[in-house]
Amino acid sequence: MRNIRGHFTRVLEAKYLMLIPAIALILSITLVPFVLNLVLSLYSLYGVYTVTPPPEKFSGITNYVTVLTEHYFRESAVTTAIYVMGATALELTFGFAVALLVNSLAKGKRIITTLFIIPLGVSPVIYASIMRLSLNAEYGAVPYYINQILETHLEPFGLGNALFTLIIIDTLQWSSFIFLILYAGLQALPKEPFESALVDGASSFQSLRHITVPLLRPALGVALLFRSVGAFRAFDIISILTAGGPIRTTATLSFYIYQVFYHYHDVGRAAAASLIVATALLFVFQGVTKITKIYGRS
Amino acid sequence: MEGARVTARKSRTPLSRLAKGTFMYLLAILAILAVNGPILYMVVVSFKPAMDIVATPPKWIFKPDFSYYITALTGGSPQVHFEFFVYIANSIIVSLGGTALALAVSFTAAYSMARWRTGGENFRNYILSLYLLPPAIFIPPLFVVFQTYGLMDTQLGLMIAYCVFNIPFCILVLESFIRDIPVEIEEAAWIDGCSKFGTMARVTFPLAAPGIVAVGILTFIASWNEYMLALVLTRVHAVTITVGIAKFITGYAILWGEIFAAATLSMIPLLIFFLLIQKYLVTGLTLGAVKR
Repeated sequence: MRNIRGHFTRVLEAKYLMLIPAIALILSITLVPFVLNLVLSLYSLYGVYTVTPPPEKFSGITNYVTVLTEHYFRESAVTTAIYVMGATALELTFGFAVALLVNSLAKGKRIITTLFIIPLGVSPVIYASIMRLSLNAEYGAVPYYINQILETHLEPFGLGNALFTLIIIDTLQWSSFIFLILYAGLQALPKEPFESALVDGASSFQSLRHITVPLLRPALGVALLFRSVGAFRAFDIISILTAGGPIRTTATLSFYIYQVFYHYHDVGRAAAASLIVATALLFVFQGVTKITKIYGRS
Repeated sequence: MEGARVTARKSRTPLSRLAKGTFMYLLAILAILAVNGPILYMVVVSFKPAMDIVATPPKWIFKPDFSYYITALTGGSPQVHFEFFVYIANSIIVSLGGTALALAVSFTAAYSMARWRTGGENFRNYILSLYLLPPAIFIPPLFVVFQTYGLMDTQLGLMIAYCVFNIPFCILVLESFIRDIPVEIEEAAWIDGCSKFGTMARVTFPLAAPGIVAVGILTFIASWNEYMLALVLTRVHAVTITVGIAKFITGYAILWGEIFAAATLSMIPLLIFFLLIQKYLVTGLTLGAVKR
């Protein structure tokens, strides 16, 4: 029998040793960039890409003032909020409905599941390219048929429509993701509560409302969290379909940062905006988890 | 009273039940068509002659044209240089490498967090908050660092980036997997004289395999489909298939046939892989992410 103390130190060492590689990698690409972001954000750098900015370019908090006072930044914050909430709500509704539907089928669950999750294997870039053609206002197939039926002239990416169209496209591609998580969750639910509810004469809506949803809460929380993060990151479909237009109405914060950095070559301003977004996001997340307790471990 | 209600529920006529069942399958087929319609459309367009692609009203009957596939596979068109095999190879190497590296370091970290609560709730929340941050906010510093240290436009650089951006997700899901594995099995191994690392590698790792596979698949798919980092951090040598395909959207024209032919080709390996691993994906998620 080994002595207790030796055993204890070995656990202590092992448990920290196991964490080191992950922490080292995470810090190298999160903390280091954070600090670097902070440094870059204090300089006025147009097209200067270096880790050691020249001292004469120092500009203090000018970049922060620029970002916080410009219309473009505030507009893209609002656009992001609409996009994330709209897409997540639609995906949750559609994905949950299909999960319930497939779960209630007697046969063919496996094949229907497989077919329904195919969009997850398609790159958003490709999905977006398809939409760019099929929704083209002049020769796209979808507007053509809608125009024939409704006798209008539909412009899916026109002013006022573009953001809504993007939300629909996001929904078509990513409902499958919500479906997959919720379907897996439904499969893992115990059978007994539903049987006793049936015996007690509960309607299907009542057992959905009072049994399925409460039991599925953890899965719903995970699906909601993963998908809202995914929607917040959406960049590909905006870049391919609208490039933020018309008149910046579809520029989300991700796209805003990319554009300031890559098209305006304003390194300092992009860095400042990055830090503002990151900080704001962490506060929003803290608030949301406190209110909803979706992710807390009970 | 209650018995009577149950009988009332069950006494539906077989015909109405059949009608309801058929209706449910129709709805399921409709949902499948809604999300897959765009993909079918893509495959159809990839065989359409150029004139018919932009024809109004849309033309659905046409003579199949294979020229886009030839263009996509043989270096592109006069306007666009396109190296299909180079881009696919880059995608495979970068996605596989990034996923393997992320899984390796995440597994040990998740193991430590699950078994000994290392870092406690605060550390876990820190990891979660990292998962929440969109990669876009790392563009300025990453670009500058990559530029300075010669990682720009290399497979290794992109691999590291993909690895790190997937670590938070991997740790979060793997940790919940490992927590579900009974600690008694490991205790037995410790008593038999197995070291902590030995136990983790020989006992826990095989038991957590379904979870690792599921997380690995999701990470691989996310890396394969990634666009923004690849767009910013590559130029010529390390261009991935997503960035490569987007090259056909030029400032002057959009080469629809070429885009869709290349996209169809690039989807084939992933879809085959998808059909093969589908079973693990559902079981994996049932075991892990869902059982919080």
